[in-house]
Amino acid sequence: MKFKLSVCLLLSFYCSFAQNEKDKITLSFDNLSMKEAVVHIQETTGYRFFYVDDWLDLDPISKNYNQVSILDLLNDLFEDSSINYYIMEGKKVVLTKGSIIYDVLPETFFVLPQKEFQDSIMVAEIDTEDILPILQGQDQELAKNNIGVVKIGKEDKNSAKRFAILTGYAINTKTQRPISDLALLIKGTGKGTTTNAQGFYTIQVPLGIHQIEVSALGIQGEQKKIIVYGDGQLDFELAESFEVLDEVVVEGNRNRNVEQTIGGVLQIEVKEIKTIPLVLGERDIFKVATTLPGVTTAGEGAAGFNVRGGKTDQNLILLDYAVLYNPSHFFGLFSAINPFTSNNVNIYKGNIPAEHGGRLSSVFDIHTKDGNDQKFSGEASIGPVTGNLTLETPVIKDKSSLLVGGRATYSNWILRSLKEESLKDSEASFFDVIAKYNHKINNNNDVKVMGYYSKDAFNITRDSVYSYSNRSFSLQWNHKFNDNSKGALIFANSQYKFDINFDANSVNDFDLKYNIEESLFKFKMKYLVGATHNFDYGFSGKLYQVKPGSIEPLRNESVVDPIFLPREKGLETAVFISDDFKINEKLSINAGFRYSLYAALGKSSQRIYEDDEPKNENTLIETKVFDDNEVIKTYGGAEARLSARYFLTPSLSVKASYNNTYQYVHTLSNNTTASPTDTWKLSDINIKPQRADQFALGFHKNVNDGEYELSIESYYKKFNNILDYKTGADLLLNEAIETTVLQGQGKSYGVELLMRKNNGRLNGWLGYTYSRSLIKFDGTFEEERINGGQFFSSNFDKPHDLSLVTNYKFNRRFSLSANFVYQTGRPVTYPIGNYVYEGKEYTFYSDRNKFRIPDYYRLDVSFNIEGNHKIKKFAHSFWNISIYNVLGRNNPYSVFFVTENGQIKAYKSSIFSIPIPTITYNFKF
Amino acid sequence: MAHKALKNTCWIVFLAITGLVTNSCIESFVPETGIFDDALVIESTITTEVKEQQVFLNRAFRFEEFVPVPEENAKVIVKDDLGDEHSFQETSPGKYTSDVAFGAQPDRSYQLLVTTSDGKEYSSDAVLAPKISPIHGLKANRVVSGEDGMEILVEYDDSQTSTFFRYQFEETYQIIAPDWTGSELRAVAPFVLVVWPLDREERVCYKTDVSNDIIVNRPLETNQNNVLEFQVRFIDRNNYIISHRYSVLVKQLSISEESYRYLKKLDESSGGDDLFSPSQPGFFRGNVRSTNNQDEKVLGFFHVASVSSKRIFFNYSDFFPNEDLPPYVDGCLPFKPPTQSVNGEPTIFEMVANNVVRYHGTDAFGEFIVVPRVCADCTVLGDPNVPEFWEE
Repeated sequence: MKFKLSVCLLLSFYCSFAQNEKDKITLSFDNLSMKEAVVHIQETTGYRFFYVDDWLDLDPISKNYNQVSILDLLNDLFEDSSINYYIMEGKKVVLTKGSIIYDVLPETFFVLPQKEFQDSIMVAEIDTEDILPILQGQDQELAKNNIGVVKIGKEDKNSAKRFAILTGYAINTKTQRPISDLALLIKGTGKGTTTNAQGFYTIQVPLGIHQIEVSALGIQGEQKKIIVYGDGQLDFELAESFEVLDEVVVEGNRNRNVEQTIGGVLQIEVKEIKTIPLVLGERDIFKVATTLPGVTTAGEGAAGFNVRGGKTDQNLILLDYAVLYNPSHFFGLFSAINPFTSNNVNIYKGNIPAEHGGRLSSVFDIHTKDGNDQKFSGEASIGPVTGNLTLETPVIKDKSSLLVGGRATYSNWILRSLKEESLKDSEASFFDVIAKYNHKINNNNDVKVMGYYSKDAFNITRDSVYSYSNRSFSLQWNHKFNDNSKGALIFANSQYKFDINFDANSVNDFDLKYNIEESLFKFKMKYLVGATHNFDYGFSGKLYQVKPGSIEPLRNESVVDPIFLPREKGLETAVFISDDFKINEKLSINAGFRYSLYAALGKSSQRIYEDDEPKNENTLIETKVFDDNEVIKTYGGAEARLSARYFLTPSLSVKASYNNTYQYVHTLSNNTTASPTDTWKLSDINIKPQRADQFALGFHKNVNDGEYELSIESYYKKFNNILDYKTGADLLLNEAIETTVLQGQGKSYGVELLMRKNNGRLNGWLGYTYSRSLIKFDGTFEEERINGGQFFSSNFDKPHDLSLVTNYKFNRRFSLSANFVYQTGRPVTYPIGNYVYEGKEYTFYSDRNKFRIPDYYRLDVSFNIEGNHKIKKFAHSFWNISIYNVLGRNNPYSVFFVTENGQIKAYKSSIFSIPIPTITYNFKF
Repeated sequence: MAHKALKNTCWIVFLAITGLVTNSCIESFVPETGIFDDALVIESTITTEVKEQQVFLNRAFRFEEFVPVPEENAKVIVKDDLGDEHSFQETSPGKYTSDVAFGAQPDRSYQLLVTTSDGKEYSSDAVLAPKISPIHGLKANRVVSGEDGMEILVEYDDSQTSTFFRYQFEETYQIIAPDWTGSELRAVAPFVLVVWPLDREERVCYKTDVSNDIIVNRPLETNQNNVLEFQVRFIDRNNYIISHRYSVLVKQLSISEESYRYLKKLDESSGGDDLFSPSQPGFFRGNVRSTNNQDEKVLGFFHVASVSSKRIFFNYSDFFPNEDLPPYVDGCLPFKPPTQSVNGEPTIFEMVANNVVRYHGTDAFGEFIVVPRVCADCTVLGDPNVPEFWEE
């Protein structure tokens, strides 16, 4: 139902108490619209009606009145509408929208010209100067404020309701886009809410007069008087308060950077990253993350992230609380997170909130957005490699909605259409799907359910198909106990598996499998004490189940020996509490404490080795057998998460933090980067959990009221029991993995500088990091030592890292973006000589990671065209034309050496050695 | 491991996906040896066979160089845990042979001590000689699925699971010259050739080749009730070595886990990168180190192995009945060399004098037709003497 108050009508009348209509009326009509009905009544009864055309419904009605009073007739006629009426002397009937005109009101009022409203139903704005005090006793205050008054709903004199539901949505007048996270506050009631991602809100308000205040970052705040008669809608068209940093917003909250107590938080607003140049047309949250200080990858197309000198397995990547073990597609070229369905991403690289744990270096907290609970909408994009479609629909309007998103490659189709025979039969595809249902049970309870699945499958050689998949599910029930206390109950389950199928019709054919599954149960509470304390506390339990690998021959006559590694099981439990304590205006502290306890569970056979001896067959004493669910070994520890913020000046703050973390699962990887065959291993008798301690100090400054943001953060991090492997170790399908790995120490430190310009035609950021990441393996025995037991560079030790991300807006429709990235080349182990052994020539290598590959740099540009903003247009379109690696820099990804015909040959591999142009079309409806 | 079969070709697929990247992702380049580290290379396997044991000492060399420099005039001693010492003498540059023949005793441990001519001392870890683990079974099979050919399989018994084995083999095969006629051409006077009956064996010879690949295996238990087997050798059906009768002596060396690891590492370090586990290269030590300088890099390994061996024979006809023989090493096309040199081409007289052809026949004009020598004289490839172990 859409009404347009397109007619500007000035209704002016004088009224006095005059209800003397006793005449009985008999009339009937069939299939007339309300307006026609009114005209009909006017013609047959002699009553004259005053109204605005658009108020009257067009739906046909049929009525039959026999000897009724005009009152009864009108009561019946307008019962289902928001129309009230007032009968004046001289058979005049004034129809009003919602408000009942009280006879005592002495003055006239004006219905003032209305701007064009979209999706508004029952709003009339009244000029206060001429307002009639409608509700007696409350007129004084109202008359004083020269602000708009809005009447909501239709008053019902007989209603016993004391509250009404106010809904509506907010739109940015300039961009005509919904405003999300707009704060609405009903003054004096303590009630407030925010708009969702689509700009919609719902709030329960007491009947009567209220002042409603709205505010949001970058939006001109507004106060409105509302007179609430009943349920109704109130929409906001708000102007921008300053040139909004439309394109390159990374942190949404303008003062957040200086104000937030904990440091080292990166926030990425997914919907705002669309103008960043793309590679192969995929908008990628993680790629943006790597342009921010502290987050790097080992190279182009490398899966996994190194956060502040941590390994790729030390990041907890959460999608609505469910862990994603491999959040990438195709060796890390694409992220497995659908940008259309994601809301925002918080990356905690400094102080990890106490509610999270189990990984040492960071938490990537990704939330899926809630579906649009007002109307069906969607978004789609078409790029050269993938297509993406997201749909949102209300299930029960205002209460529940469903969001479904899916992405898939058409590469299989491309491969099949190729002429090259060797590629024709190849397979290379990936897809991911996500669905989220959220249901608002009532004002105090809501439920969110999320399901996710992603799969990759491709040929590695002609005869082998490698596939992996992530499956995640989460269920979250939020309950509000009262205004100060909220709780959430979370259940999540994740599975990651891979499979390598080699089928060359030969005796070597095999099928290799790996699988890890984890189930999380978590209960957390939030409790506010006044404005100074903000407690978060709760507990969680996580059960890991791993099938560490099996290989089976595909044929009876196979030479492949089947191997089945026994399953592993572990339970990680934790209790946590934290308090964000505002000591005074300047100082606030966030003190968190977490205690985690890990139990490795049977059934299992654990190999026991002699103490203080390298673990190998010779030092094996016995194999202990544990029953199902029997505790094999427990590890645990207290984890502190402390941080403090102090305002040196109102726009300059200093933050300091200390935190330590434990990690009970480890990846076994022969690789520099996260690799398809990385397997996760649970801690057991022989493999101890990893631990990290991080100290950080940072300064954050806002200049020119947030136009510029500056921050400098430094950290020092210490690792214990990090896993590495002995040179040449065979990690896949090795049952005695402890004999091939080493646990050692690590340290990393660095300074991160971020300068950001948030608004103006030119915006963007410049990040520079100087950091080192070093590791040390110094066992008692030679085989437990790497590089003589000294500290050496880790695989991802890249001291200098510079990222420049810029966007220039020519006007509202056209913008140009450019990225520039520079990094020190990563460490590499270099061959330093040849030798002959048993008649064959070999190469021997330097100490591990003694040399570096050439530096990495890359420039990308993109040109963005926004579709026009006509409201009536079916879809809002967006074009992105990107060129990745404009300079065509042949950035070596890795350097390796192969003995060919007895000669050493050196190779370097690169992934994108020429400029890659891409064009992507997006549209939204 | 079978999964090693997956080699690094992934980016091809990637190229196809994008349809955009046209140049190769992997290209070779010439690295410069930044810092060359000189290093002593130790090569020795002391076995339980009683024989003159050997130790080889060489030095590593730069990429630009091609030949290792032998380490000469070193003092080499192998010591056992009872204190008995076996000293070695340099018999050729870099090759040191024990003064007396000896064999390692299972369950005794041995240590190698080397003092180079510049006075640097090196010592190995004490290595325990493993128990002898005899070859349970050795058999030959024709493989039909996949590549056609013969495979030599070692069979294990249950007690041999989880033992570390290294394999070396010596294969000996009969060579029968396909165009042997029993006659040869002799120059009885200048420019006079006559057909002369052969006075020596040139039809059937024997050739022995020794493997130099690193072949290691550790049989693992399976949940299937198959006999555990391991393919030590595969011979393509077109390899001429199996044309007649073939024999292989497989030596099964029980080695220590350290030896096994070292050999595997060494083997992997030289192989192409396995896509799934491109083992990150790094310097890896063997079990010998410098006693003077802990940081000095020493290459190679001192192995102690218990040896057991087995020999089998098979005939081509046993597995390829009524099938064509594998192609001979030469196409063996008979030809008629000129009697007078044209354009510097050798004449038949020169060819006979240089012993590069054999008599094949005489044409209607009485001119000689010959074949390349290898086609009628097996001694080019092998030895006409029947090896002692040979069984028909």
